[in-house]
Amino acid sequence: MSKLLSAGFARLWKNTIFWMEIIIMLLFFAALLLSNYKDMQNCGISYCLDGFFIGSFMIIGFFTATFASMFLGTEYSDGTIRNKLVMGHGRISIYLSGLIICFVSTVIVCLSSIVLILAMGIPMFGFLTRPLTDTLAVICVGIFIDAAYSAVFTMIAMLVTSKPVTVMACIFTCLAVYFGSMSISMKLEEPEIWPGYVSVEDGSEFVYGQSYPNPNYLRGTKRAVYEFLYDFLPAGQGFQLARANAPTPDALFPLYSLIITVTTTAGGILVFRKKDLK
Amino acid sequence: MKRKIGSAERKDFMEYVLTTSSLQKKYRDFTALNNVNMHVPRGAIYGFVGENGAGKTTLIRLICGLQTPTKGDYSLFGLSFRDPCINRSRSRMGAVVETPSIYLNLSAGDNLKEQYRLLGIPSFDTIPELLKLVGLEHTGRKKAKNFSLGMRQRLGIALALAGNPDFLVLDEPINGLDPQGIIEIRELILELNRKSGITILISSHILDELSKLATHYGFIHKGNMVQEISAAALEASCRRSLSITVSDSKILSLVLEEKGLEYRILSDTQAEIYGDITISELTDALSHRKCTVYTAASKEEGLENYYMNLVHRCINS
Repeated sequence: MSKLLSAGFARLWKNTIFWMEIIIMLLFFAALLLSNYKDMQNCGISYCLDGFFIGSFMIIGFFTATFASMFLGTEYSDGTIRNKLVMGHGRISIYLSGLIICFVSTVIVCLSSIVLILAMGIPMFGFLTRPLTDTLAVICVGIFIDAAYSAVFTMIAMLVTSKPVTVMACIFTCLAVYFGSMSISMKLEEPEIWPGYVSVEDGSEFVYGQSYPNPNYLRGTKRAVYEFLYDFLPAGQGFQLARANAPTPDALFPLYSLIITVTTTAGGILVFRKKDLK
Repeated sequence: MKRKIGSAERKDFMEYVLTTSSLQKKYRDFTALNNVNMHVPRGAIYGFVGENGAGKTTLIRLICGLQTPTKGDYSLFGLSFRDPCINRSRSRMGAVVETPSIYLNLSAGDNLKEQYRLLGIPSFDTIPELLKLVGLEHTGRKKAKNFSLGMRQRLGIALALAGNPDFLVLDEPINGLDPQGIIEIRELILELNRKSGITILISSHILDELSKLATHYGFIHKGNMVQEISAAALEASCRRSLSITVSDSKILSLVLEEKGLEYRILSDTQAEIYGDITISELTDALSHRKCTVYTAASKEEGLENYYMNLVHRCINS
């Protein structure tokens, strides 16, 4: 597999999509930091660097989806996967090398944004408020998120032989995970109790009703399932990590990401081994 | 890990680079290959002939490991495809299956570097030589997506040659090439076979071109191997004929009947005569009956006719 990795990484360093992703990520966070710094200066809103710091793990899914579908999809569109098989490389090695390259590229994109945020953000917003150990723990959880995304999109890219279909499938999967997680987050954040209406007339307050329970508030098993999904999905984990005031991430997050990584990779390899290629 | 080879396998290994035994490939209800037995001798240029959809590319995909047979077996360099070490045999192969497998956004040189890395060749020193061999030495940094079809085909062959293979598989390598490109690829194939001793399996529709190269043939029709034959045996079995234009083919037929020769009347003035014939005797006999001979040309049944007759026999049987 070392030969496959050597060839894959050589191609990665020349890959336009990879460099474009790094540039876009850097530009995005540079713009975000500058805009928030301006707000802080003009409106006196206080910002904490921790919120930006892990931001890349929240949006990395889109980058991984694009990269995996374009980089690995090229193997099918250009037919180069045939070369690897003809010269005697095993299918498992081909699959795993694709996954490793996708994962490493994703981590590089995330780490490059972290370096930029630290370099630009510390002079603007001061040092991180989290202890160093917690910060490192958050980065570790983020890297597991990268692995989960890489595994899912590698599986799609290795099993779908049409590059345009791969691109669409990866992006739609990513959108589904993001909007799914966002919708779960909104449902979980519904208040348990709605306060009564308060009206202010001529400086006097009138209360027109009593507080009442929110019918949309999730309870019991349903709430437990939603909470589990929010913790389990990589996008949900990313949202939770990116909160500036978030507590130390759940110790189960890496386990969930690992489960996604292992199951999608095992399933992908199982199908890819039997797949008829053209 | 060394593996002992049995005496029967050893014989195959010595004589044949590729053998298939009752090879079958089904796609749901469609049988693309049906009990195909094939033998590609070491050092041969094996012309694999068949119409569109006959199963040529399917067989090539199977032996390249892109697909798995439904039934049957094949061996590469004496190793069955079921052998865990089959990838070692594959590493002695190079192939261009259908379209050339090249990264379109890389230059010819970069594509070769990528191939060298995949093969584990540490030095790129031989790349210029390989580019020169296929006539792409002047392409510089031009990306493969801007190459002509012929240039891509040549780059595909260069990639297939990168690992110094003992067995080269070329699926329709001259499709879409201009006449100059066809000649260049033909010369390249002959050179590789003669100078480097590479065994070549080449599938093509262009039978006339194939007949200039092949030392052996395999004819496939609707997934069935109809015949395997050496070029020498094929040449010996091809019928020779005399194509003749006369003033009256009725008189010609009378004369030919008298001489007991096999013939075929094509029109009122044209006919084909099979078997050994002395032209002066024939022209004398015809002039005696006031029939003029305008043209006479010796004609040999080519690969195309041979193949067509073979397919017709196959359909009729």
